[in-house]
Parts: sequence; C-alpha cells; structure tokens
Amino acid sequence: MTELWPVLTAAFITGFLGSAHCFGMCGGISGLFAVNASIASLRSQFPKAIAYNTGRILSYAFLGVVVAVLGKTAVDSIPDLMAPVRLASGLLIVLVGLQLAFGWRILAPLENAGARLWKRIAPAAKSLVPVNSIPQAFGLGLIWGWLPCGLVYSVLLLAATTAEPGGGGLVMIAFGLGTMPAMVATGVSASKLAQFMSGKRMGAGLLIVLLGLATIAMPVMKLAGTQGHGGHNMSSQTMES
Amino acid sequence: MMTGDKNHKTCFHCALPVPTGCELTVQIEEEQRPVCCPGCKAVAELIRDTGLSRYYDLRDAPEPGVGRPPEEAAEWKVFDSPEMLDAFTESHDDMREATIYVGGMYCSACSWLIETTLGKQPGVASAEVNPITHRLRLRFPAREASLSSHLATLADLGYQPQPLSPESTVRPEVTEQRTALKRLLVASLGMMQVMMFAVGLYSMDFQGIDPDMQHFLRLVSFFVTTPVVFYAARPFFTSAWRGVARRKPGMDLPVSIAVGSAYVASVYATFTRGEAVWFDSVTMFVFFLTLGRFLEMRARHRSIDRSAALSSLLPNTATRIDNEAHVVVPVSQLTTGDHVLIRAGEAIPADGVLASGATSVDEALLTGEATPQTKVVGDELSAGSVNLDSMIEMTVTSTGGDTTLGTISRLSERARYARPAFVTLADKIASYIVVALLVVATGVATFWYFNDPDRAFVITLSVLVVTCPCALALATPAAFAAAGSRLSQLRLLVTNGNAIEALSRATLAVFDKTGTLTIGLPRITAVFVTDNAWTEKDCRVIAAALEHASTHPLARAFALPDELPVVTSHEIVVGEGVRGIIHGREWRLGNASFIGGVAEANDSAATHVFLGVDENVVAWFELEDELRPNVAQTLENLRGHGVGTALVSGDNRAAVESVASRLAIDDVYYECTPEDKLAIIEAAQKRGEKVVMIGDGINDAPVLAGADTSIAPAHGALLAQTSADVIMLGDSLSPLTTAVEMSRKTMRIVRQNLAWAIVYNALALPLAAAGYVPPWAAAIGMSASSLIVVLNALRLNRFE
Repeated sequence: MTELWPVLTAAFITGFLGSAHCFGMCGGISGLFAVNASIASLRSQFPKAIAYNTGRILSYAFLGVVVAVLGKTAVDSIPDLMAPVRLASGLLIVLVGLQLAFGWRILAPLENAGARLWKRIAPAAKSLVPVNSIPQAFGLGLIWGWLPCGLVYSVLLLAATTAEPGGGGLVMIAFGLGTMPAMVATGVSASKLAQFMSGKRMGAGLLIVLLGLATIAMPVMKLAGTQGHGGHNMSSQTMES
Repeated sequence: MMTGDKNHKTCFHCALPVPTGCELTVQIEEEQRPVCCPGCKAVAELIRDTGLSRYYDLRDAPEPGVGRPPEEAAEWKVFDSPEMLDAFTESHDDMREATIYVGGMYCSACSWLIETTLGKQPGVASAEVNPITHRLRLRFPAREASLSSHLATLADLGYQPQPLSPESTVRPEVTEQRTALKRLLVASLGMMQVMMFAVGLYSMDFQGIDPDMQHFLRLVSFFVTTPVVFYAARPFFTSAWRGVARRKPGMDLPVSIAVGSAYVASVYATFTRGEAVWFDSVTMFVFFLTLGRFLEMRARHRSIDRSAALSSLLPNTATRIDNEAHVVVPVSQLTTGDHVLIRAGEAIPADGVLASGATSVDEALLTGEATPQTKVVGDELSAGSVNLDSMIEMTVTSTGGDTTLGTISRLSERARYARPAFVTLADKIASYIVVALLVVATGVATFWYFNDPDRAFVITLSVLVVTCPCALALATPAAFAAAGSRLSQLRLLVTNGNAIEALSRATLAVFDKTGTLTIGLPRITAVFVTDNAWTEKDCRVIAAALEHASTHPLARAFALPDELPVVTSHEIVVGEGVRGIIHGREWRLGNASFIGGVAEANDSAATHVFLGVDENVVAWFELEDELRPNVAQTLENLRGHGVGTALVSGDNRAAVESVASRLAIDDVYYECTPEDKLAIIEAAQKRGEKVVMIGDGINDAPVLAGADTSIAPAHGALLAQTSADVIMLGDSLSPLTTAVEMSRKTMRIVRQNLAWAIVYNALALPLAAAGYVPPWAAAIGMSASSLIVVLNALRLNRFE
C-alpha cells in the first residue's frame, strides 16, 4: 500500500495541471449551468458545481476500480508479473510527467475509441442540459466522467498498475480532486488560474517525472535497506504482496 | 491567452491550437469548425444538440468596427482627452492601466471572449477580466493613449463598458479578499496533500514501520506544510504579535503558539527521525481557521459589494446643452445649474429637476420601488435612476457625492465601519480569556512534564488547539456582519453599530407624524365655499394659480388644472401664505389671519387653507396628509411583537388624534416642541421602556439622539441630513417590523453562538487536559466549533 502515495500524488498533480486543457473544454460547462441563471445567482450555482464534480469523480473512481480489477486479475494469473507492473507504474508516472511537461498526446488513438463509447452515452447527457437542479448536475457529472480524454486514460493506466480495486479508485479520486480547482474556477478568476497553470506545466511535469523515478527507485532502495538492516523490515507489506 | 499565429487552426470549442494532423471537425450553424480532440468534439456536439449554440454566439468576436453607429463611436472619443486618460487610468512606468466595468456579462465565456478579442488588438499589453465583479483590467503602452477604440470594441461585442476612475476601483476589500482566497487555496491544497501522506503514515503505524518510507513521507509533508505555515497562516502570526506588542493578547496568540510549536517540533522530529510529527494537525488547523475567517470576511463584504454596485449605476458621460449645442462631457464636469439631455434608456447622471419633457423613471435601486415613477416638469430626478420612456432635459441641482446616490453609498460605507459596543466588549473579554488559557496550558504542561514527560508536549498542544477561543471571538462579529448586510438588502441601512442590539430590546416605538406615518404630501379632502359668487371650481383654479410658483409643501396639494389664469404681482409671505393679482383683484391664499377674515373654527383633524379676495374669505380648503402604505398593518405587527406604539407631533390635537385613532395608537402627544418630545422619551425611559424613535429627524435631531435607537424613513434630499441610527429607504414602513424581527433573531443567534462556544470549551478543555484528545482531533473539534458559529451567523443572510 505504501507505494500508492507517489502514484496518488502524481495523479493529483496531473489532474491539477492537466486541467488547463479542461478549462477550454469543460469550463464551458459552468457556462451551461449559467444559461438559465443570471450572474447574480452565481452563488447558487456552487452546490450544482459541487454535485456535478462529485458525479464526475465518482465515474472516474468507478473506471479506476474496473481497470484495477483487470490489473489485479492479470497480476494474480501471471505469478511473476508483480515486479514488472511496479516498474511499469513508475515508468508510466514518468511518461505522464513528460506528457504534461511537453504537451504530448501519446494516447490520442485511445481517445478515438473512447469517442465511440461516448456516442452511446451522450444521448443521456442531452436530457440533463440545461442543468436546473442538483440531481441533474450530479447526473451530468456522472456522464461527463466518460468523456473521451487522453489525460483520464493515462491516469487510468496508472490506476490499473495498482492492481488493487481500492487503490485504483483512490488514484482516480486523487486525479479528480486535482481537476476540481479548474472546474469550479468560474468563481475565482478562471483565466488567472489557467495562466498560472500553463506557466507551471513544465516544472510540474518534471516534478512528476522525479516522482516516477522515486517510485522506481524505492523498491531498489528498500532492497538495499532490507539487506543492510538484516531483515529488520520483514513485516513490510510491499515486499511480500 | 491565444496567440495570433495564423499557421495553426484553433479549436472551435476550447481555443487551444489544433495539433497538426488532426482533422476533426464539428458542424455548428451550417459550418464545419475545427476541433482539437475527440473530447472537444463530443462537448461541442452536445452543446449543439441541446440547442445551446448561443453559448458560442456569446464568445464569437465580430469584426471590430462593423455595424456601429458613428455618433455612438464619438461618445467614446471623450476618453481620449488627456484629462480623461488621467482620470480613468493609472500610470505605471510607460504603461497605463484602466479598469473598466463591463456591463452585460453573463459567464466565463464572456470573460474569455473579452480577453481574447482585446488581447489581439494592437496596442493592448494585457486584458484580464474578473467574471465575478465584471471588471476588466486593461494595460496598454502610454504612448498609444487611446482608450476609445477599446471601449468601442467592447461595445461592438455587445457589452456596456464603463471606465472606472482609480479611486473607485482600488478598494481595499478587493485586495483583502484576493489575498485571503490565495491563502485559503494554499491552505486547502496543502491540507489535502498532507492528509494523504498522513493516512499513509498512520496506516504504517499499524502495519509496522518502514523507516525509509516514513522518512520520505515526513519529508514531503514538511515541504508541503512549510508554505501553509509561512504563507497561509501568516496573518495569525502578525496579528498575534500585534496583540502582544499592544499588551492585549488576542485569540491569535494561542493559535500562533500552537501552529508554531507544532511545526517546529515536527520539523525537528523529521530531521532527527524522532517519534512523531504533527504536520497533518498543523495544516488542518490552519485550513479550518483560514476557512472560518474567509467566510466571516465574505459576510462582511457582502454589503460593500452592494454599495459598489450602487456607484456603478452612474454613467460616465452626460450630454450637456450649451447654447443649443449638445456636448458630451464627463459626469465629473457637471455642475449645479447645467442643462443636460437624457435619452430614453440612459441613466440619470446627477440629481436634478425635470426641465422639459415627461417620462417615467426606474428608481428601483434607490428606493426599492419597483413600478416606474411618472415624472413631469418640476419633478425631482435622482442620479442613478434610469430614464425609461422618452428624451428629457434636466436642470442639475446636485452632483457627485451630494446626490442621493452618493449619500446612500456614503451611508453604506458608514454602516460598514459601525462597530457594536457588544463586539468591542467581546474583544476585551477575549483578551482575558486568552491569558487565562495560556495560564491553564502552562499548568497542564507542568503537570504532565512531571507525570509523563513524553506526552507533555502533545497534550499541551491539544489543549492550545482545542480551546482556541475562535468561536468565542467570531460569535458576535459574524452575526452582526451578516445581519447588517441582510438588512441593507432589505433597504435598511444600519449606520450605528449599537442599533441592532437596541432594536432587539425595543419596547416602545415612538412615531413622528408628518413625513413618518404620513407621506408628507397633503391632498385636498374638502372645499367649503362661503361666498356664493364663486363656484368650487373657480376657487380651485385660483388657488392652484396662486400656489403654482410656491415651493411650500402644501402647494403640491393643489393639482394643476389645464388652464391657469394669469397672476401678476405674485408674492410669497413666509409663514402666512401667497398673494397675487388676478383679473385686477387681489387674491390671497393662506392661514385665516392672512386673509384678514375672522378665523373659522379650526379644531378639526385637518389642516385648513383659506382663500380670500380683497380681504374677504371666499372659501377654505381642508387638506389632509395621506398615511403611508401599510402603516396600520406595520403598527399591528409591532404590537404583536410586544412593542408599544406612541405618537408625538407638533400638529394640533385634532389632526394628531385623527391619525392616532385610525391606527389605534394609545399614547398620543400633540403640539409638542422638540424639547417636549425629548422629555416624553426620557420619561418613558425612566419607566424602563426601551425607546425606538421613528422620525425623519430633520428638525429634531436631539430627539432621535435621545432615544435608545432611531429609525428614519428617508429619501431624496432628506437622506443627507438625517442622523438616525437606521435609515429606511423607500415609502413603506413595513421594513420596520422586519428590522425588529431581524434584530431579535440576530441577538438570538449571538446568544446561541456564545452559549455554544462556552459549552464547547467547557467540555473540550478537561478532556484535552486529561490527554484524551490527540492534536488532529483537537484541530477538528475547534474548527467544527468555529464553523458552526460562522454558519449559524450566516443563516441571517437568508432571513426573509
């Protein structure tokens, strides 16, 4: 479980900074909320924004659990897969960081596949717009979580490598929480946040890369530590599971 | 921000560049638009299919300068003159910065549209829009020196731009709020992160500790906590230090000690690989404290937003008529006596008198009166109201801060700084409580040091955190702030901090008559013709002709017929009446002695005005002042709340008793001088009554001051002169009941808050001192307690 933390952090930061893209794309959703409301009642939009985001994050979490179960199945059925999967997890974090830092779109092909799935889901969204109530906002959020998005897919891969249903869900929740500021930012100066984030992408991307490298290095360090302390760490869960 | 790079297509939906090789498009309104990714395509299709394409219209930038009537473009040229540039921009080095209020914004799509469009214009360094306050900050090089083209562009986009002068924009509370929000953001992100690590650390405590992992997590927690302590929590440290320096320790002192010592101890433990760290408690404590302060500040600022909205009602320019020529001038250049032209749909730039034309105006924001008010020549017009129907000309009577609008803004400002004695007292007590807490904490530390030195620090920390008297310190100010802002929304301006408390205890409401219970505009209820040579109609016409030029309040009772006979040698005799020559005979209108005849019986309820010709009484008019709408109901409601009613007036007995009997008022005092009124109030106070005086207070300021609290129904010119504690805008008296209910509810909430704070502390302190409360639980307990208090206070905002 301990190795979950770098993954969660990476997911969170990816969500936070990656959501600069969501601004243009999904920030308009707050616009949809506001279509039937005057700007004066912006405060009353806030509960809807929260409901919408809760729905969205729930969908992410669901997806996270599903891929993590797949991951677990794979790991359980192939005995020696655990170590490579851990390594892959670290490499993926590095990849996600690079993607963020340099604006790569590695998973674009997956987006097209996701778009086909979305076509089946979209009709449900149509009945929920414009959003006039909190349940509608929640419903829209649930559906929005399925929007084809390369960023979500990269973090989903990360979630799969946890090979723990709970861990996968947590990774996606951390990611979702990271995207929250951008999604509720109409209340704050949205453009400022966007500027802030686009300015920090390079640095944050590299930070995630470091986090990924640390994740890869951790088992190695631990191995060294275990030998050094003469089995002091026998109870460590990570080495056994 | 978008670049003007022509080689790249930009995504129709999210405005980011479309990556090369991406051929995705979406059809919106008969056209194929490029999009950057399947996600954007999906959203754009959804928006289209739900019929919300208008969303894109709001963002679409039309070609600048197209379809713009030339005379309107000229209007903006005013802003290019050097004086105007100086008045509406600030210079920084070689840049100028203008703040422009953008009317007609809907949502963030609008701010995006404005920023992108203006950002692409030549000569614009940066354009930032705050979607909440609808303000655009525009920076451009000083040598470009043209504001008009940007304003014209904004108008082209369909918005109503209004440059704001720097005085009106550099509002301290905006900066305050922005900083507070940043601190809150830092604290919340920091808390989320550290909590995540903390769960890891705690789970390791149970699963067995992996020292390297633990050290790693502690290190990361340290990095995240540091900005939370040094940035987000800085106000607590500075305020604590200020308190210590002034020898008046505030509630921030124990907070600072707790945060500071927990942080230092944790850092020490991190680098020495010690027993435990408290980064989670520190960040959580700081986050909840910051959140509580932020909510409290929002409550305080809400009323300011309103007064800022008021000042934005004024237009920036006015059309002045100089010898038949129409000149567009900045409103600040208008002076008393100017003639201005106001087109339909324009806001009225200053207070004035309608000089020609007739129209209706919307005064909703000034008086709360929702129906448009009809205005004819001679009627008063207020700055900030909107001319609805037709073009009019107005003679300016007052400008700027002297207008009704200016006065309301000033009063709102005064209301903001009003600090109830109650709150000051609470602050004083808090000071003693803080000292007491520090003593207790020292005692606890000493006890545990000798009994269980390992736990002494943790327990003392918990005691400090759990007993933080934040709830106590927030209990009253938060409630008063929320009440004040809600009352101002209900068109009651509280200008004295003690008014709410005094009002909640009121047992007797003393009313003035004229202008308070009545509207102050008399009307003719009967005409008695005593000389058969004249008809009633003749008398009315002659009286109207005589009063036509008079400014006496009674004059307005004589409505103008279509045709007036010519009056010559017209003369007003102050205190007596008017006289003038009509068709060769001298007519007089006024009191009985002025006419020269013997006084008729004048003991009835109404005011009498006599009309005479050649010193003979011809007729007399009975005038009565109309009651304000809903007066009876309001008084009934007040009595229902246990507030007695009394009427004091300078008028004659019959007039006063007539009103009193219609309203079922028991205590009636007539023919009172201001000294009498004051004596009546003081007598009531001696009997133990808490007196609220309701009167316009123009002539009897000492009476208002003598009462426990005072309320003045006021508008127009009266506003500036009133010295009342609470000012009611608008015509109805019914807000009075609301004020009483609201004040009682406020005091109830204050008492609930105080009771809660005391009970909480009484329970939490012993538990913490006994060592049953870990620091993180202490942080949650204390925060929950203050949040409860603030949220309880915020309920007042919902008061109907």
